[in-house]
Amino acid sequence: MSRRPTPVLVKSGDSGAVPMPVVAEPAGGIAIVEPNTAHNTKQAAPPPARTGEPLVLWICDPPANAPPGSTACTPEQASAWARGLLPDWLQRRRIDGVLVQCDPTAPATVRRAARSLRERVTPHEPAGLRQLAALWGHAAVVDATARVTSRGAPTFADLARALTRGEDPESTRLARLCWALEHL
Amino acid sequence: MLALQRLGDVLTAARVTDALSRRRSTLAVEVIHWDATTQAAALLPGLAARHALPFAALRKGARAHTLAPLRLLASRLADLNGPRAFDRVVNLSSTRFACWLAPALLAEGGTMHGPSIDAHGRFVSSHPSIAYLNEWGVDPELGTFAHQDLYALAAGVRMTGWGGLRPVGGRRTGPVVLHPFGSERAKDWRTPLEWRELIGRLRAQLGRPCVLTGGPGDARGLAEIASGTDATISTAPLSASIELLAMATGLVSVDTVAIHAAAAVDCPTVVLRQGPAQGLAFVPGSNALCVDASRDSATPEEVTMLAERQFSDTPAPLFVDPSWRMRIRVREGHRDEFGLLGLQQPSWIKNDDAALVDDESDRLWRVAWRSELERDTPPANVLEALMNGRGRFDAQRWQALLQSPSGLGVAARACQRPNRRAA
Repeated sequence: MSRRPTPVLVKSGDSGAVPMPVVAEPAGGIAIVEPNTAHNTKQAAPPPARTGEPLVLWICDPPANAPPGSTACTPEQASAWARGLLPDWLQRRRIDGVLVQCDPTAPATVRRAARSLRERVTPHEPAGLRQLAALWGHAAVVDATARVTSRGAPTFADLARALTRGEDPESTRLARLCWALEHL
Repeated sequence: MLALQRLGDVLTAARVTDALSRRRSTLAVEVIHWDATTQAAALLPGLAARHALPFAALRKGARAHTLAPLRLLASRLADLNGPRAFDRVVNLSSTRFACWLAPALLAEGGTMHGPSIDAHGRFVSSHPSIAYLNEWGVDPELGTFAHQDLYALAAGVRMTGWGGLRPVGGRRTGPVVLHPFGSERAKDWRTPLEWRELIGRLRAQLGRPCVLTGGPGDARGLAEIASGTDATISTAPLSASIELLAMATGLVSVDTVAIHAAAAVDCPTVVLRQGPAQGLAFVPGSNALCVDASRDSATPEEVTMLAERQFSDTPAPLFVDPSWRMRIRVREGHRDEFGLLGLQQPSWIKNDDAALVDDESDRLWRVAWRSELERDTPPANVLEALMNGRGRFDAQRWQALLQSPSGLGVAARACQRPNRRAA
């Protein structure tokens, strides 16, 4: 199976920047990326392809150091997003799950940027989950998240119990899936 | 059909998919498996569709928040369920994940086979064979059935008359295949140096070239073993390994997918079993010789001696050193008259009478439990024999049975009472 080149976010300093897939040559398992400046940043580029699967944002500098399968993001960009508004594409991807990671041996500035963006994109309480449920737009899930009262981040069991209190068959089916995921 | 396990377990579903797809009443058989086992699912016969669930993506999503994997799983199930879902769901996995998931695939009024969990969180076995599996597990001392047979029985599949993935028979002229690495280090047999020694001995004794097989991730370890020998290495996909095993002289392997692939093409196999791999639950097929480590594992010299006989149509008799029995246990797979897999001492081992007592014990335990699986009363003389059994595990099996809520447990307690009174 051929490996797709790692898409890389354009350094623009603008917190609303769209990620820019950059031409990459696979070598030794790591994608070598052309400098971002080689691209016309005015031209709209597609965000990382959406598959319904979680997005791994890898905070590093240079972006070429991001492992295959992840989307590279510079520490400056990560910090800017953590402080300000998230771009639309990233906001939309939150429902699929966004994992913000970096090399554990990276400099403190990189680790700090990763941590602050992680805090920003990961829901830690029921209210955050309700926001995401609204983004999904599934009525049974929206109702259920409104009933979740856990203190920290709701677990699958919390969500399953809340769904069980919904009376429609779809809530029952989703509750079953939650219990399954609880044991994954 | 849900086959949400490892590669080897998915391969053992071949008997079930083949049987179900041949039924006149079957419109189509579809299998749901993890994406990491696509290679094994591709080999299953009689399938109209295969659906891979993204294991890593679900786990990854769960690290972000609870809705991410829920949305992913719900959307994948919506795609594969279609507007109506399935009339029959056969679950071949005992994980809680699969047991919760399976009923979500059922159409209204559909039938569930295999283990599941109801809406109140209660385990539902659907068949006495699954109740047995749930109660006795895959304990190497207690269990007397291969777990693949128990799932097949629950699916309503006839156990006799399945020929495997290829027509059997014909002379085997290919290389000797060795598969040193499994999914768990606890199942490893000895050291790379001793694998190398084994290659040298097998080459000298059998006069056939040796091929070392494994996954792409094993390439370095295989190269280390092969260095200094004339063995070749293959990290080819499972379909190519099946082709290799179909013509191979035989396979020497730890307990991993290779032994199930060999069983599917009737390739004679020596399985070097350590740690969790032992017992009757994981017998791959009737052409496998299981060499269980007890206090120690078999030496390269012993494995060569066993392979020579296992790969031969006319094996020479073997008189074993009595100390053998303390270190290793050697048994070959066989199917009884009901088509159920068991293990017994090979006919070419001549002087181990204690092993014959153990074989008879296993046989009687299967007779007793089979009556339970068929919802029948166990023969009284069989229960008496088990209560007074002299097999190595008879005492703990009997004690466990006395605690069992099954019909056989009830019969055992009734059998015990008059004997106590008489005493």
